[in-house]
Amino acid sequence: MRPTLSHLRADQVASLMGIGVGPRRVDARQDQPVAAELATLLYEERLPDDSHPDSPREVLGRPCDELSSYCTIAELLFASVPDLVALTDLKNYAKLLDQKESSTSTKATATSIYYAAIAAALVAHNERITKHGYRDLARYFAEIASKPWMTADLKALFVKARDTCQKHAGEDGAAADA
Amino acid sequence: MSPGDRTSMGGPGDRFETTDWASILRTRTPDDDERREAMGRMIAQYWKPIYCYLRRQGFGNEEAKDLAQGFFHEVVLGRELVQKADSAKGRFRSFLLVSLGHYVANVRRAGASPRRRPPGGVIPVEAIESFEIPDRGCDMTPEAAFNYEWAATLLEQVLEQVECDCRDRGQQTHWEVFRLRVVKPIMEDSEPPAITEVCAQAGVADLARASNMIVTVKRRFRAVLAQHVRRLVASEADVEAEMRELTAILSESGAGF
Repeated sequence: MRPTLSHLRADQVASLMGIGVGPRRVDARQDQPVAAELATLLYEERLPDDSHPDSPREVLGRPCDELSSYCTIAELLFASVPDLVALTDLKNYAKLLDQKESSTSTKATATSIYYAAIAAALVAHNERITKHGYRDLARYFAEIASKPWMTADLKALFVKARDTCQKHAGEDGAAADA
Repeated sequence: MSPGDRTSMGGPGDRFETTDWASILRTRTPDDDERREAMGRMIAQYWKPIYCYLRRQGFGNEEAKDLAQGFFHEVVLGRELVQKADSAKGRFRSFLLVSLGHYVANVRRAGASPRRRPPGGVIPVEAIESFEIPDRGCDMTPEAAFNYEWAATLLEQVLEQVECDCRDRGQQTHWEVFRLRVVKPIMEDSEPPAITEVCAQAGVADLARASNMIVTVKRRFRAVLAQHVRRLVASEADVEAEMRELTAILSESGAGF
């Protein structure tokens, strides 16, 4: 039976459309190898049962079922309601990837994904999935957003996350006092 | 516009319509049956966005129904639309919206109701589909109402076809897992449930398998959406552009309606 969508809000219809369209892939700057590597990691379709040595499942040493239900990392990061468990897995995966890798570009890529996962949780859920304080996070987001190799879509996410952190900056002191 | 307004226009919603550029060109055929069928498909597909556009233009329920009938009869059946279709080939949605705007302007300028309507109208009423006019706030422009209803109608068809495809392939559980984890939270404006919860509800023992099912159906959804949009644009390059434009229009409209 055909579903009826006429009662939904426009943003809900846009979210349904988003399942079929996905986030727009940004063009990486050709003169920046990190940008190209980052764009590949963000938009490359992963096989759900990926057993590649750098896959989240292999790096974390356990299944990441919530994360695996997204076709791409970009789909998770830019979803209107990204899954928090998946974002936490992504953050942990990126952190281990950073420790595991020695190449500068891969480390930079992993760091970007690490902060992007934290940023997406803050922007979409107002949730802090890290022990870093808001003031520190605001500074990190501003710093990473200004990198010449940063992709435009992640840059926009970091700017939003920085703004969110600045609104919460007063809570750092309150938490320390408590 | 009140949510209680109902109209009986349109046909049954349980059929797969294939209105597209080819259909509009088929309305040129001298074969009466073929022409009627092509027109019927087009009307079934597009009456809702047209009707909603007219309501947002300030026309009452009955008047909007009348004008929608008039648009199909005078502009579409009257060959005006078909004649312009060749030279204007591009995105069918934009083309229809512009034609509708001109039609309303002409009706207003003439200060008269549409004319030459056949008894009973051209929109089939015998197979009634009860349509509740959505109440999404009064600030929606007629164009936004048209685009919203266009996208909603398109997605209704896509979801129906994806579910049918899953059923035909014996993948009802795939559909159910996808529905619970992806579609239902969007439609109910809620957080997606955890995979463990989805598995419990759908009777899937393996969490990794459930994730695979979701990705499989997402890919199918993507393919079916592209297939539907392909019928409404003139070139392959326009497919993604049309989907992105619709998404952008809806996103910009925000949560206000």
